[in-house]
Amino acid sequence: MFIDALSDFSEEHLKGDICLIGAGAAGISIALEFANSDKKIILLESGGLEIEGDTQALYEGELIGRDYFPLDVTRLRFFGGSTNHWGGMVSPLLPMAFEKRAWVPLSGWPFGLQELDPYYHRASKVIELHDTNFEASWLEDQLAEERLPLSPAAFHSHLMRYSPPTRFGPTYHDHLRDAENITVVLNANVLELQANEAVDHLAQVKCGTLNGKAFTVAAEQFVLATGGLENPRMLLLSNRQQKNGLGNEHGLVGRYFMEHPQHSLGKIVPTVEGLGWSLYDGRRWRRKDGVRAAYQLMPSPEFQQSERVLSGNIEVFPNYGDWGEGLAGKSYKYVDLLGQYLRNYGIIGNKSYRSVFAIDRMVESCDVSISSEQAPNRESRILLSDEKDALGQNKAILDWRFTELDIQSLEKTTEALALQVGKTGIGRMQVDIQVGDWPASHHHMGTTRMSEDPRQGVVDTNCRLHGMDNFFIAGSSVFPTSGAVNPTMTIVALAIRLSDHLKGHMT
Amino acid sequence: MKRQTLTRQILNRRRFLSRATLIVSANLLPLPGYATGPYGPLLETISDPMEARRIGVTFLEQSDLGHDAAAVHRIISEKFGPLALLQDRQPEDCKALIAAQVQRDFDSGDCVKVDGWVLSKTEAMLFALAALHV
Repeated sequence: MFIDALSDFSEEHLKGDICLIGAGAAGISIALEFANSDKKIILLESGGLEIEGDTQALYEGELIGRDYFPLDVTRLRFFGGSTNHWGGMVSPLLPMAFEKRAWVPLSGWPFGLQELDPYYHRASKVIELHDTNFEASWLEDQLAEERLPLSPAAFHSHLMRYSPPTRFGPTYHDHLRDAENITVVLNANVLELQANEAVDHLAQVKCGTLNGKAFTVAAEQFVLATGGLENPRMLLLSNRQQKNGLGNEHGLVGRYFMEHPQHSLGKIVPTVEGLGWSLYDGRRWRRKDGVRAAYQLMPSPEFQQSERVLSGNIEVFPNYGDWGEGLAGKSYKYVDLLGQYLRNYGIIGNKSYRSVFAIDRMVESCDVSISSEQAPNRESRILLSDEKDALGQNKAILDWRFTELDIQSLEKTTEALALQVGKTGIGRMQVDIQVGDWPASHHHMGTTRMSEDPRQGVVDTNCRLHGMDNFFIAGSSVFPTSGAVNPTMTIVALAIRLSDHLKGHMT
Repeated sequence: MKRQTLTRQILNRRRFLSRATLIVSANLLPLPGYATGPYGPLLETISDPMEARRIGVTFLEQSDLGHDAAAVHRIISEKFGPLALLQDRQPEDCKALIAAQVQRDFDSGDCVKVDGWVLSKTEAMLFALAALHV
């Protein structure tokens, strides 16, 4: 059932078994797990079914650190959350992202990849992947074409798959509407998280609407799933019972903000023909059933360890030249598009496509960029501004920072890649590092980090807020380290894992 | 007609590549006839002598070599042996010799960065040679 708190709603108090705050990838994934169960789920969403200017404006904030996107642009505040503008590139985190690395301060998740593996499989269905094959050879097998012959001890080609992308709002709207145990409350803004007197149990959340209505929601369990910028803001705003904010006894809430900053690294000019550069171009291959995939380059675990660097996701973006002048050049472009169509629909094989349409020979250069892992950094953080939003809530301030390790990793990785390109004889690379020129990936991570130790994390291994018995956080804000791959698949996997935990601990 | 157009495009691209990196490669088409003397066999393997010269000038300016031709010649001789032995070699042999030396440079990390391009020392020295003799 859907109800709109702005119009068709006059309740002052709602009660459920589980209150989910935020209907983005994490919140909706948890709701789906409980659909048609005996648990009454209340899913609170600040926005409506479509984007509305005044609700989106509640995301406005200040920037005082590195250049970043405006805070009301980098995320979306309506049903489905930021999946409404998501690009769809997905991958599980790599094993090393979970490990403690001596050269990366505060690295190491409380568990390894094997813990998340079964949840990644379940997540793949939620994000509508056709299968869960992330073996690097998968795309080679699909296209009978080989990856770049770089030394695996230095760089490996990592397979990135694509969700359609799943727009969680439209995709799961009917499913949630038809589930008798789920109530989705639209235009319901959580204003305060209210704990019991001992502040070890969340009693209710106080909500308000932009037209002045107020109500509370009580539940046995609560999950905060409002994104990596808003999760810490909600905790910091709930400062009536604990002056530094809920769960902030050790001053960690909002700290350790990480992104995947994007940097141009330069260009590669191929010097031999017949190499599979186009396998690295996410634009070029889409199977007729919608399956898409592409390779990206990543520094190997051995390289990261020996050079003491962070990970990164290197995009090699082929430029196919100007196709010639006049009608002949234009015709060739359309002939190539026809070739792609014939290949993608399985009418001709990839080998025929490559030889007839000369795609490899047309790769004149490749732009190289990286989406970097950042080291956890206490000074990179979300704070509260004195300025208030339309609901009277303090706006967020983002103070985004880089560490020396972030920059050193970027430089060492780029130099190593340039050497590898020359060494393997596939081309030469012109290094031209432009730090943060995009500047980032709209991935908001680390601000309520996970650790068994309350002095090092806001939530425990089960994503439960330290010190509270019924309050959980979902989303990439719990990532202790970010790895280099896109976070959505991990967000959904963690949300499903949290659902299983709740199922096992509720009467 | 169409085939000619396509061929022209590919040739243009090859020249683009050679302008960009000057790789001495069997796939690239050399433009012979501009170099004579003992360094002719080496210089004739370079696809685009003027671009080679430009990169060579940049390399000489950023290195300690300046315009010390003797130093450049000495390093070239160290890499390729007595130049007299190159005189009778076919261009393909010279290319293979250079390619092997370039590979050794990359394997041993004997590389330089010129205008951002990460090149083997041998490539850079050949461009320096072009700067002095072309």
